[in-house]
This record gives sequence, structure tokens and C-alpha cells, in this order.
Amino acid sequence: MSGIDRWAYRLGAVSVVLTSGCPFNTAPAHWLPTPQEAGRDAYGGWVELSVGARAEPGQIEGELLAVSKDTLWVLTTIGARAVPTATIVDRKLTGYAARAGTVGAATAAGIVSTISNGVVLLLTAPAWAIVGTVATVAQASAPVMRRPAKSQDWRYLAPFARFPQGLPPEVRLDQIRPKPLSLP
Amino acid sequence: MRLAFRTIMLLGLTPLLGSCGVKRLERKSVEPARAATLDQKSPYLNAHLKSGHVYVLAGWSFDSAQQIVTGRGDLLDWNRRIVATGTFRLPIDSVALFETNVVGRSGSMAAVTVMAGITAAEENPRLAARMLIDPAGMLKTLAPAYKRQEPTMESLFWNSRYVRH
Repeated sequence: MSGIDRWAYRLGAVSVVLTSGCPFNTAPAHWLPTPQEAGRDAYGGWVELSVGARAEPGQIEGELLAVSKDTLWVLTTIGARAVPTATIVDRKLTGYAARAGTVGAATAAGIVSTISNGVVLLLTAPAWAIVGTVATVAQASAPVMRRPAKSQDWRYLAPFARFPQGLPPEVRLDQIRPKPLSLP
Repeated sequence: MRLAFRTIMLLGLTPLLGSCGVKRLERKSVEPARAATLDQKSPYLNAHLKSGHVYVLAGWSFDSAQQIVTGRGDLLDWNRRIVATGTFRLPIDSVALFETNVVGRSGSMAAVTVMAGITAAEENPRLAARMLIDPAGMLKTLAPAYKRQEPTMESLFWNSRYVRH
């Protein structure tokens, strides 16, 4: 293996490291539906909240059940919780599984494939690294809900709640069940 | 050997990305009063009721004259257990919120596929290497060649595969 070939392998490894900083989520493996499954999946997205004092925030994560103007309801592993929005210092809602890892793997493969270019990989490998890294980060960010600019309304999260219409009065929070995990 | 290696690597990327579900999802919530705007491209229509139950309907349609949604599928309770299965006709005033989900192509997949295509189809390693090693000499070679081609470039471009559909 020549020095240039080693360079391509290193660039591929750097690309993998760069894309590992993508906005991945803490949902259990295979918990989030793929885009193809999301249409018939009647559960909420995965929400990660930092609550309390900004210096030492606590973490709450689980399925987003419902959203109102001032409260988020989250089904955690120890049961459903109502979280006042005033106590939330940071939040992330992931609506579906983006499969960004596949784009990252393709980028690494593309970079390594430039070994066959010989010296031209000095051009093609960085091009692959730049385009592939941007593509991977964009794919990982796609299912993360962004708050509309200048809006203080939390209801932008509602489309990816189990109850997008709001928490129904009939629902007993102490009896609500989590989504069953189905392994592929 | 090297060409075969590269071709296998590049040709493998497109089916890899395509078959592994690298897609994007557009979800829309629609108030019943705006049911006429429901996205017909959505394979499933989810009709959320005020009680927390939800109908997940395939093969659905909206009758604007009768203000009724029809489709076959399941009625799920608020714990998402199946309550009923079959063909349903829902007056839209019984629904709290409709939800559509449309799967689209991923721009990320397109970018990587284009990179693979460009690398595989357009690369000329010998000339590119010469451009890197001896740019001045390469330009001296290319300039007369460019001048010879210049009069035909306009028609060449408009007849190229990048313009033709």
C-alpha cells in the first residue's frame, strides 16, 4: 500500500469520526420507525429534555405523548410525566429513524474507493469527504424537529406526539403503555 | 484490477443507499375543516379522535360532498391496541385531527449518488494527474485543443446528456 493509499484510508476514518458527531438520539435500538413505517406507527417520537437549573439540568427522555401551550407529557421508562415547558432548558425531538449511518458508511466506502484513482485521489478523496460529511449530517438532522424562528409555542412538536390533538381527558397516565420493541 | 475495485465500490453505493431506507418523511397535521387539503400521496391516513383512539387507514379517500373519509385499516385505542379492523366510513366532524405521511427522496442520498456517478463516469486519471504535476504544460496542450472545439461547444452542450431528458 502506497502513502497515497494510506492517506485515503485515513481520510475515510476521519470522515467516520466527523459524522459520529451527528445529532444521533438516545432512543432504544429499532424503537423509532423508518420513514416507510412511520405512516402506520401510531406512537410518538423520541424526546430528550434537559430540565431544571441551566447549570445542573436533569434529563428526561422517552416517547412524546402530547403537547400543550405550557406542558409536555413524556412516557419515560418509569412512567408518564408532565413536564412544564418553563422548566425545560434544552430539548430534542426525533420523529423517525434517518439511517444516517448508512450515508456515513457509503461516504467512507466512497473515500476508500478513490485509492484506485492514484494521485488523483488528492482531489477526489477530499471532495468525497466534504460532500459525504455534509450529506450525513443533513440526513441525521432531517428527523429532528426545529422550532420555527421567533416562535415560543411548543406545539410545533405536536405532529410527532402520540396524541397530536392534545392529551385526551379519557387517558389515564398511570395506565399508559410503552411501545413494544420489535427486533428486526 | 484497480478499475474493477472502484467500479464495484461505486456501483455498490447506490443500491446500498436505496435499499436501506435512506429516505425523508414529511408529516402534516390537518384540521377536519381543511380535509380537502389532505395530501393524496400519503399511503396511510391517520384520523385521531378526541378520545385518543386513532384510525390507521390504507386505500383511503375523501368525499368532499358528503364530508366523509373512507378507508380500510385498524381502529386503535389510546394504548394502541387494535379495537376493530375493517372498512370504515368516518364523518369528518367525528375526527379531531388528520395526519398524513409522505416518504420522499433523501437529498443526502442524491448527493452521494451524484458523487459516485461523477467519479465513475467522468474521471480521467491520466490527464488529471498531468494537470497536477505539470499544469503549465497541460494548459499549453489544452489551449489549442479548446480553440479547435470552441465553435461546436454550444451545440455540443445543448445536445449533451445533461440537457436532454
